Amino acid sequence: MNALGNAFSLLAGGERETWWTIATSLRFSLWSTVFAVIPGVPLGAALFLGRFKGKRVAVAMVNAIMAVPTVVVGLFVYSFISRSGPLGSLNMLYAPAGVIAGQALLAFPLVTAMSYTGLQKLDPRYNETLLTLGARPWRRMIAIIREGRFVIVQAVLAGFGRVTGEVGVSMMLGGNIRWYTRTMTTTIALDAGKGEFERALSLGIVLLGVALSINFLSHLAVRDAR
Amino acid sequence: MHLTTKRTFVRTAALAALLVLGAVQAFAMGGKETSASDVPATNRPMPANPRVRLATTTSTENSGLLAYLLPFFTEDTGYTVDVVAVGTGAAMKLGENADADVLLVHARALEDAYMKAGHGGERRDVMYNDFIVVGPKADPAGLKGSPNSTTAFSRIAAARASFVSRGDKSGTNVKELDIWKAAGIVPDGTWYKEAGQGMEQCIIMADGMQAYTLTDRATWVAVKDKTSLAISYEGDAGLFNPYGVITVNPAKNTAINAFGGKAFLEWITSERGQKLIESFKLGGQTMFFPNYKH
Amino acid sequence: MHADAVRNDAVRNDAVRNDAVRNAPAFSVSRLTFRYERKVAVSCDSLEIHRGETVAFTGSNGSGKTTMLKLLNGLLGPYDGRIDFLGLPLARNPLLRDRSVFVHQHPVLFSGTVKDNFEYALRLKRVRGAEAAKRIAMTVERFSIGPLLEREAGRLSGGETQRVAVARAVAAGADVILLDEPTSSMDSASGSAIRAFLLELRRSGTTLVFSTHDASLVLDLAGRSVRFESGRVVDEPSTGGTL
Repeated sequence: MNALGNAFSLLAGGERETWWTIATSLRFSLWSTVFAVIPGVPLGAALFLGRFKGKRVAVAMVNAIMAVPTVVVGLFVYSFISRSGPLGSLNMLYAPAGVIAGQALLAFPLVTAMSYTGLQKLDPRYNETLLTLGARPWRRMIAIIREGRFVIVQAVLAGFGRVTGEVGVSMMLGGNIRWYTRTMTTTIALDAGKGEFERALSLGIVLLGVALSINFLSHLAVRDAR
Repeated sequence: MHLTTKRTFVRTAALAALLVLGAVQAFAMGGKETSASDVPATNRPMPANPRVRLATTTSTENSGLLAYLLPFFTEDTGYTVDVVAVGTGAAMKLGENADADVLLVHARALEDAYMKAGHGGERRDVMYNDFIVVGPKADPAGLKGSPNSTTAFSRIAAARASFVSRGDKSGTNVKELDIWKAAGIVPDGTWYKEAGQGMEQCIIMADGMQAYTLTDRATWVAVKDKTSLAISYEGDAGLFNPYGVITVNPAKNTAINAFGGKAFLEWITSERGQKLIESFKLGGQTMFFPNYKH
Repeated sequence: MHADAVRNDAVRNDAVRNDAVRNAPAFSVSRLTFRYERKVAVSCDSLEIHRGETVAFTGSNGSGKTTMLKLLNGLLGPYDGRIDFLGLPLARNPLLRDRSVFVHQHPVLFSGTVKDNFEYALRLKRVRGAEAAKRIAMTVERFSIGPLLEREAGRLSGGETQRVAVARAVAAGADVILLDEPTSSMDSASGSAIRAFLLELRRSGTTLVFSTHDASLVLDLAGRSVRFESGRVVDEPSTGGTL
């Protein structure tokens, strides 16, 4: 209980490194979510709208990729952005860009799959109305995303939730560098292992708060969609 | 829920997300306000590439040595050091892949092999301390009074007392395996636990399991208050623990910050760097003894 | 008249199309079979619907009326047999989306106001600005829906939504309109408003095809009714087009 009290006082006391870590985490997660959403939502909508051969295979692939563990995604990206890898000259490894790239790759299949399955709940008459009014595929995609914005919001939130809570990619690609790539989850992994529970716990509280907020917003989106 | 509210919801959500992004971007970019690097250094030119990546063993980070030294380095040279704290083996692998600019490690045989393979630019001695065996206060395997480290290890194996190994090719792990080899023992069985974690984590684990483990003294002093363990064996000349600094061979990759790596090597072996190492104390004790011969 | 020729020669394409459009019926169906989940959902040996004609599809629930309407609008496929729209095969028919619109039993409007919906439908036809405003004003005038124009589409009643959906189709330039149960589950006031709508469309020469259970709607409006029985189409003789 004492540790919990200390954890709260760390937060309330505005201890700079703790808050910096929180801000950095959110910064990485927000950017990576943006980069995951830009291709993910249109792709999800395209899968939903498209009538093409191999669609089932494509959907199954997206779902399969979604289940790949974070450390595998981390390893994969690592092999690309290492200085001895093909994208080495960009110097992304052990830098924020590397973490954001890895997290975006992590969230991308999730956002795609969630958009796809979410849009399936959308009234099929929207698509038929767009078709009958002569909307071309590109316009249909935009209109479907617009009409399905509440499920899209959920997909985006799910992506954000996944990258905020993950540790494998952040650790492997960020290197847990103080004042640079240290995030809430890598700090927890590091501090808990060192027996320093106060900061780990205070960050755990923040992560819990983030998760609760995401759930709450997601719930609002579901309610408003009706 | 009517449509006006629907529109408002999504727009508000998007606006809130943007605001949060702006806020955290600003805050995170602000970085640390009170570090030594913010002290204006009048006569130093700003380096072209001011970020140096140092791959190092966990002991230099966990003991607090780097947190103590690096602000001075930044103040003197303008370089910011990104510390990637892994085991010595992993640090050298990073160097081999050109994913680090400079290494601070402690496994002499590996270091020499690394230089021989052409992965390094320059190697210098930096400092030393010693390894110790820590374990339960009751000392169930009776390590106290062992004549040397190999005997101490033999007693652990004979008693089948729990032992936590780093198991990560770190400098400490390499040293540990050398001692088992010298004792003629192949550590095997449920009592021998390969953790695959950093030094500090291993000590915490050993505390949880009431096991023995081999550690460098600096990490032990930094962590000991969080544990119920005690030093079980120390003082053997075979437990000497020297640290070396190695610049990664800049010919390996153009992305390597060759100037930054060289600056770190020069600085940490300079008179000022060496003095600062000596002045780093935990519990009134010097943790690392500088030993670069000019 | 063949699709290949249409594809191969742009000039002749236009000539063929114009000729086809001038002389051909609105819809010409022959030996059509559409299967849904391997069961025959609709089959029809022959059906012609002429331009300007008003045709009612009747029959019990699940007899294939709605499916047929969607097939005629190219919303379902693939199918065996042939459907021609204005003399050209339905697949890749360049006239289909410009001239024909299907209106659901309970139509959906898009987010925004009624006016937004009109503008969006016109934008899909590349009609913008002053021309769009003119077309919207004309449609509003013709169907007396001025009071609805600035309302949020999602807050309209069922009858209002139905009227806006039909008006949206007309504003977008459709002159072949397919309606699924246009007066179902609607109070009598809305029902008669829709009825007036359809009469106005019929007067102006729009081809109307609708499904219904409402015998009075068939009597008042339809020149002909086509009965459906468990997916089979029975082309019935003209009822005489009583008004």
